[in-house]
This record gives sequence, C-alpha cells and structure tokens, in this order.
Amino acid sequence: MSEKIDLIKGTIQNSSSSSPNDIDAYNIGSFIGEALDNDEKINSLISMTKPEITVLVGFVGFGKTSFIASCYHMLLTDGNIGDYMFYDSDTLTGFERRVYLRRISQEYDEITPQTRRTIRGEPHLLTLRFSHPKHGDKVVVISDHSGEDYDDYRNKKANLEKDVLLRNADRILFFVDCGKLVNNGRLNMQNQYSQLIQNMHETSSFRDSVKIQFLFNKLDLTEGKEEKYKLEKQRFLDTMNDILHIPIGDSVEVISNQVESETVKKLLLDIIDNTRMNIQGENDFSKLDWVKSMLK
Amino acid sequence: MLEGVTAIPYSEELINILETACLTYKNNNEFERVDELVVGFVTGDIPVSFKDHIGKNMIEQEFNENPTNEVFIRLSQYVVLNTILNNNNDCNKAICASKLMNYMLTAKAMKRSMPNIDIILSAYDLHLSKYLKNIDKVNENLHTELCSEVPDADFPLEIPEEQADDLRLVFKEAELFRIERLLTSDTIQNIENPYVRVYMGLYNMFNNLTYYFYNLDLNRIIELLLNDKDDKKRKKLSNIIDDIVQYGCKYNFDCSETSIILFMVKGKNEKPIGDLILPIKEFVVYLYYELLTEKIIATLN
Repeated sequence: MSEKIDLIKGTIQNSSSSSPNDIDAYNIGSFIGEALDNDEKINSLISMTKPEITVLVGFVGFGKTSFIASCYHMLLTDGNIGDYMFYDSDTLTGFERRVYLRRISQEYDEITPQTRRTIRGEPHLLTLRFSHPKHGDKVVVISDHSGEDYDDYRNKKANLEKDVLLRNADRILFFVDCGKLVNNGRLNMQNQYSQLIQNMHETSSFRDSVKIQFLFNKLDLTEGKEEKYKLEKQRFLDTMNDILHIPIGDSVEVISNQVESETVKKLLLDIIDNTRMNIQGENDFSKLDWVKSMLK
Repeated sequence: MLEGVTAIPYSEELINILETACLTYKNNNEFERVDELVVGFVTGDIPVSFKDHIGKNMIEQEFNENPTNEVFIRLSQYVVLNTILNNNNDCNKAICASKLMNYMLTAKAMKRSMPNIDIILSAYDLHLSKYLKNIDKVNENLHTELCSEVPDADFPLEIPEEQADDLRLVFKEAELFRIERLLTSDTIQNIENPYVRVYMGLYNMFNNLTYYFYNLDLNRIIELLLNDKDDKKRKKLSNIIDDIVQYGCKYNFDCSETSIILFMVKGKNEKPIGDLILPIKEFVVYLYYELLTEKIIATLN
C-alpha cells in the first residue's frame, strides 16, 4: 500500500525517468517523463506553435484524473483522433500513473480513495503531441491539479494568484459530479464553485477569449433519476452563468471511466483542434496588398 | 508583438534579453539582415543563424525557454521593423521598407497568416516611392529660358545659381525623354508577349538610367508599355517567368532574395509561389520596384 502511495507522489521512479528539474530531459521527445510541476516550464517545451492550455477544474473525487486517463487510453489504443496522429508526450510517466490509478480504483474497491486521484502538490502538467497532415505538429497541455488544490484556491485567494497557468488557459473545463447533483449535493457543489469562481474573478484568472465548458461527469449515477438530473443540471448551469459573466460553451456529459465514449473523443478533438490559432485579421492579406494603391 | 504567442507570457527580464539579442543580429549589414528575416517571417522558414543567435543569448543569461517558430517569426518581424522604423538614414530606411514590400508578393502567394499586420503597415509609408517623392524637388511646371538660351550660347557658359533648378529640370526632362523613346521603340513595342515586353522595357530602362532618384510616373510608364488589350491580362507567375526566360531575358546583376521576380528569373527561388496568378499591371509594379531597389543598392555600394 505504501508503495502505491509513493508511486502516486512520484517518489519512485526507475533509472530512466527524468527529474522534474531536468528541462533538457523533458524535451528530448522520447516517451518518458513525469508530469511537469512548474507552470513556467511550458515555455521550455519544444514546439512549433504555442501550446494550447486546457485546465481541468474540479474538487476532490469529481473525476478529472479518470478523464485524463480515459483520454490517454483512447489515444494509445487508436493512435490518432480525427486527422491528428498522437505521436509523443513529454509526460508519459504522469499519464501512465493516472491510467494505473484508474485501473486499480476500478478493480480494488478496498483501496482508500486517497490512492485514486492526484495528490495535492503532485506535478500536474501533462502534454500530448500530435501531428496533422495539413496543420503540422501541435502540443496540448492539460493541467490536472488535485481537487484539494481547488479547495485551497476557494479558501485562499493568495494561492490562486500564484497560478500563472490558469490565468493563461485557453480552455477551462469545470467538472461536475452528476452523482452529487441527483443526491441533493447540488447546493454544496454550487457553493464550492461560486466561491472558487468569485476568487478567480478577483484574481483575474480568466483571460480574454478563454473557452469555458462544464463537463458533467459520472452520468451513469443519474440512472433512474433522469428528470431530477435534468432539473438540477439546469439550476446549476443557471447559477454558474450568473456568477461567471463569461459565455459558457456547450456542456459535455460523460459516463464514469468510459474509455470508448464518442463524447470524450469529440471533446478531445475539439481541445486539440483549438490549437490552430486563428487570430482575426492575420489571414487578411488585403491590407498588405500595397500594389493596387500604386495603380490608377 | 509577442502577445498571445507564448503559453505563459515571457518575463520582463527575458523580453529585455530577447530585445538585446534581436538588436545585435548582423548589426553590420542591415540589408542582408532585412532580406534574411523578411524571407524568414513571410515563409515561416526562420534562418538557423538567427535562431542560434537568439538561443545563445538566452542560454548565456540562463534562460532555458525554447521559443516556438511563432515566437521567432515575431522576433524576425521586430528586427525588420526596428531596422526600418529606427533607421537614421532615410535612403536605407526606404530601401529596407521596399525590400519588405517587394516580398509581399510571396506573402500573397503563400497565403500564410501574418501576425502584427498593423505594425507592418507602419513601414509602408517609408517605401522608396514616398522617399523619391520627397527628395525629387524638380518642379516640372517651371518655365525655363535655358532651353532657348543654351543652344546658341557661347561656351564656357555661366549659369547663375538661381537657375540651378532650371538646369535640373532640363536634365530630368532629358532623362524622361530618353525613357519614353526607349519604351516606345520598336525593339520593345514589337515584343508580342506583354509580360516579356514589360520585363525587357523596364530592364533596359533601368540599365540606361543615369540617375535613379527621379520620382518617375509609374502609371505613365505602364501606359507606354501596355496597350488596351493587354490591360486585363493575368497569368501564373511561374508561366510569366518561363516566358521571360525562354525569350532569352536575363538578370545579370546581384539581387536580393526579397526581389522575388528577379530572383526567379535568375533561377534561384525555391519557394512555392509559382501558382500565384498575377494581373499584368501588378506585375509591372512589383518588377519596377524590384529593379529600382536593386539599382539604388548598387549605387550605394
């Protein structure tokens, strides 16, 4: 048991693993590496285009790690998603550990909940590298902080202020535990998010044009309570709309640990596709076409 | 200029290091610097020497960031625009701005996205055409007695200082006459292919010009080179170049990579821009300023 906890904390690594401080080791492009622990290290990743940052936000047990594990499993199994070929990651150890945790949490109910998720302070940045025949190579960075970190952010604004990555996120994916929605846990969860989002506003954690989405996880737990789920979901989203004051993208519903989910595939593809930065006006050559102005 | 292009914004310290690195790149040859980096940021193919220079400066200051190509594109733009906008020499400033604008033909062909368009546009006002307009002060409306006095005058002839502008006008008009005579000559006008006619006309015109700093009327030159039925012609750039080369035309002088048409005539260009369909009048404008830029650079050397 203690070995498993050590594994989660990243203290056991084989000799080929790199230390989190060894930047060069992260960038050699081979399939090794723990998750990155320092936000600033993203700028050290070798990449042709700006890495796209997606931050998963959710409290303890909301399923962020399982979601990441499902995505990784899907990519390893299929090798590609849409036209994007998954060819590398700088943080494979981080992914593997999450897949392992998901697997044992499914298979061994007796294992305490602490072993099933990301531990507070654990390296949280994961990278995925894709190649597209038309758009070239892309790097997607996914931040998987522990739920306790978000509890901290909810309670201590000062900690939130230090989160450089969140302030620069291209997409923030808020996780909602559907089990709590249908089992009278909505208000509590709503309050948690209200406090967190309030602090995020006060610390300017939402950059301009950030894409906000809610992922309703563990949809399977609503079985038999579909009507209640529908109602509670709408109430929850209405409240979030009032607090966020930012347009919310389409919500996503995911069944627990469903690795073959079309919804997860679609969402992941949308996350990757978003890396094609399209700054308005950049493709408008007409302004630069000086020759016409020379002609009568 | 780097806004939104790095995952996490660079620190002030790193920005300062990058700025210093940019400003020290090939600082003894501004034309070469502009040529290299304009080609770099338009095509996305940043010169290795520039990347190495920036990387070396960052490592010396213990920064381990790996700038993306998008960052290098913006840094290249910064160097080019700084060379143009903060240039103390007005003529060099105009040459660099013209190099940038000449190469926009490639940008048009490649259809790549171009960041910082508004900042690039600020360099457009410094084009050679504007520079020549400012320095060519010869008043073409001036009435001069010199034309009637000089033919019968005894030499040596004393021309008072107040008639200096009269004399300049006479020289300019003579040059304009020579141009017109050349462009309307049978040698040029009998060339059936209008693109070849334009190339031969402009190439010979610039080879025969004795002074390149007159503000010539380009639209008048177009009128002389093209007739009504040529006006609306459009052709693939690669086919235009083939026509010119097959006719036996050459460009026998050094030329910058930013003078893309001349570079292609010399058979040097490897960028995939041949599919661009170019209206003939636009071809004239691009070619005219490429030749003018190269001739002025040659006079400076």
